[in-house]
Amino acid sequence: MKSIKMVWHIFKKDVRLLWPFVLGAAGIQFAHAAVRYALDQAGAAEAQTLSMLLQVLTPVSQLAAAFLIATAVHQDAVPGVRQDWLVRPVRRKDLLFAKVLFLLVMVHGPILLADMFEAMAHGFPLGQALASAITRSLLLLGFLTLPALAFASLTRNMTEALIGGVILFFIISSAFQLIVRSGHQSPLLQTGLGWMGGLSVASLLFLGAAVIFTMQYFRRKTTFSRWLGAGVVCLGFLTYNLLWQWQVAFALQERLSPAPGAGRSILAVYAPTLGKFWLPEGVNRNNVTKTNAGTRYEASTVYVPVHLTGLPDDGVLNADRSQVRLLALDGKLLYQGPGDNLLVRKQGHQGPIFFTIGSFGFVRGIKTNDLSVPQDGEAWIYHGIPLPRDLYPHLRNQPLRLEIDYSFTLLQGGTSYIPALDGKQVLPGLGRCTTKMDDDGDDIDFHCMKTLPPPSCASLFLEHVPSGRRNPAVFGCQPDYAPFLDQLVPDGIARFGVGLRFHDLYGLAKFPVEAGDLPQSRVVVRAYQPQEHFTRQLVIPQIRLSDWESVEHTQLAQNH
Amino acid sequence: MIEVDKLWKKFGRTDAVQDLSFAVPEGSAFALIGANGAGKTTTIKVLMNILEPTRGTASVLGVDSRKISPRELAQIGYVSENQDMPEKLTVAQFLAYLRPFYPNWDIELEKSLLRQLRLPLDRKIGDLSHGMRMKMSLACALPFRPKLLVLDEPFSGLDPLVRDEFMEGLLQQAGEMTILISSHELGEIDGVATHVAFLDEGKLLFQESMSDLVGRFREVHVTLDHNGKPTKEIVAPPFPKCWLGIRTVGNVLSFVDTQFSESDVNERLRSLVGHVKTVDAQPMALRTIFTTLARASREGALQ
Repeated sequence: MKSIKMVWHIFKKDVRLLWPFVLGAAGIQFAHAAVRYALDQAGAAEAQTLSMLLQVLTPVSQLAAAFLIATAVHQDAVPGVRQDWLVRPVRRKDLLFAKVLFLLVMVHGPILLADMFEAMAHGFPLGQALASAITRSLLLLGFLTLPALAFASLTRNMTEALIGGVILFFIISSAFQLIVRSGHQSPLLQTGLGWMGGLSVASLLFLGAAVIFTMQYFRRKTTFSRWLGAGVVCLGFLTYNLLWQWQVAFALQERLSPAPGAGRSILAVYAPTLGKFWLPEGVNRNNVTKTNAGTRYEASTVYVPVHLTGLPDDGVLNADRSQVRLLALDGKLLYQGPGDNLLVRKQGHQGPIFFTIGSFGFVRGIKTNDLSVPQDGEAWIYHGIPLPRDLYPHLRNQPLRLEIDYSFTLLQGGTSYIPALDGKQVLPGLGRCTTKMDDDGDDIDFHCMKTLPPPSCASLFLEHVPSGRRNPAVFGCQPDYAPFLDQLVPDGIARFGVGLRFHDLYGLAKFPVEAGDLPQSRVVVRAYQPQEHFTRQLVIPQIRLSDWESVEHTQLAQNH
Repeated sequence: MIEVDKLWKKFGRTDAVQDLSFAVPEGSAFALIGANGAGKTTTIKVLMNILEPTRGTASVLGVDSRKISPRELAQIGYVSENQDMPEKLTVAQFLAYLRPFYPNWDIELEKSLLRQLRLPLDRKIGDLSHGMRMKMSLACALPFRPKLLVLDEPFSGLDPLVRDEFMEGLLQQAGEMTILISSHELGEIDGVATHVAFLDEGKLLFQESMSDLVGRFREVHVTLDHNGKPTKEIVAPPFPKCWLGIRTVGNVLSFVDTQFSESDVNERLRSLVGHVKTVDAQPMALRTIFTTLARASREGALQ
């Protein structure tokens, strides 16, 4: 009881001393929230100005929070020998808890309230608004504010903190550049499992901060704590970029599958009868493109025909990662590397199959209805395997054994509808959605906001209800399998949307659903959420790579 | 009250305090004297658990200095010339902040101290002059009637008027309190200290009661009877180690005797310099004792 009183007593002293800073920082947080809200309501004309303002305010709001935390800690700085509190009967734990209380009430309080009011202004109910604000506050606590509190406890004053912060920033930036250039980035990056890397770093920072607090406030070991802090930053960096093993992360993700067994019947086998892969128009064998997996040479890329079975109707199968191994027939490993990003979508019961080739930086969608007529749950697709340019000539005519380890996620969802013009409603899995004509008059802007993770994939099209005419569907995927909205900035609301074209301003294309049809049209949205994460292995005991080089459309023209 | 045993404190390669041992008796006013950089403040910071000793031990109120807890700190008043206090709080706000930390805080005593020291309650600490800050620091260190009062260079930079006000405030409340006071001038603690320890370059040169110290220091002027011989022939080294600042003018030999004894002074002088006409031994002011000791220490004359 006495301890609580003393924590409150120290907290009140800090508030008395720092209230102008508290008001300033809170003002910035509320201004940040107001700009976010205004941007969501703005038309194209104001949006540009507000976007620029938001770009400034986002880092400023974080710096304001960090500054306020450091100032509060420096009121009773730990390093040094002159501070008055050192000779007073102040219990160290009371002092620490008072600083943490200041952090929670004076720093997080305004952020939480601003986030909550913003969400409520958008029409989210109080419970959802509060839950999303708390989630973001917890993320900020792990990533920013608690580490900032620990960092401030290692410094005597703001000058030291600023110098230390700048040094830290340059070290982290340099290390990041080094990692990017060396190609040792986290295998989780740009996959739906990215949240695990972030969460592990936040947990490590949280633990590191707890140890630094113990060493600083209870033992005043500043030199040791500074080294410890540097160690935690390095370890965080290593954890994020180097220590996470894909297999471990995916095994964890498998355990979090919302519908275990949903992908049980899905199988992938080699389908040599399918014939060679025809490159999509615009892509030829001389293409050299930069992707997130490195430089991709079309001339040394092969496309392996794969027969998938067990695909549910309207399901999406995403290969979060495919690891390719090429072995000599005596078992000697000749090559190991990633395959193309493979995403397979089945549209309807016997509808066309879509799949992707390439990788981030170069992705092409292929429609397979001219390749085969799929039966129930079947799909014939090609999986691209880009190989190093200098290695490929040595391998292309050898008999080889090919093994591909797939980490798959099956995504499924339901269909929702919203009027094409000025629609405003809550759609299952998508949150609060709106539709409106864009300023150019050629698109319907479909936009949603959600306080929970957005759907990993979605397909949308305009449909004229009386006639059933449909415009071509727009499909997009940005897998994120986090069980919570792992969004640190700018707030706790996920925003996503797309423009649905119904008119070509140049008059070159004609759409089935046009401007005059819009009052009787609707947007049909299919939102896909992960159901099960699972692994499969495709083994081809003997293959000759040159058999699976692609064919260009230009060759077809030459043949004719 | 305070026991220091073979205490060492290093900063990098520098020995700030070396093999220091002394004891502060309960109820005494113990002065740590030494020039700037002698190790006084470092010793006090070790005693207050602000710094950790490199070797050796120190105990305060019977507790190892490294384990001093809020319970002990609630019985220790601390006043230092270089104490960082919350600049933006007013004097009244700071006192109000401190009160709940001390179970024995006497609000009446606080009021009386504020009156006596004439402190402006509504002024921010950052706006106080150095003298005012020191008085405020004292006003914050006494209302809980500490068993031990630690004063680190409390008079440094104070004008005589403020110094007197400070001393008055201190002496009126001293009572049974044990006081540890550090200063670079003996004169400053004249009339306050009952015991003194002299530090030089981190080492303790001596410690004793003030009465013994004042009793054994004399400025001695000896008129020699040299019968026409040059003074240099009569007065030649080696001199006793207890003589400091030796000089001769004509036939007068002057020095500071650090082991003066009234009973055998004439006999000792005759045995050292032969015929002596007159001996004049004057008691010394504390300030003069300090400067003599400091000078001798720098010249390596003190062992």
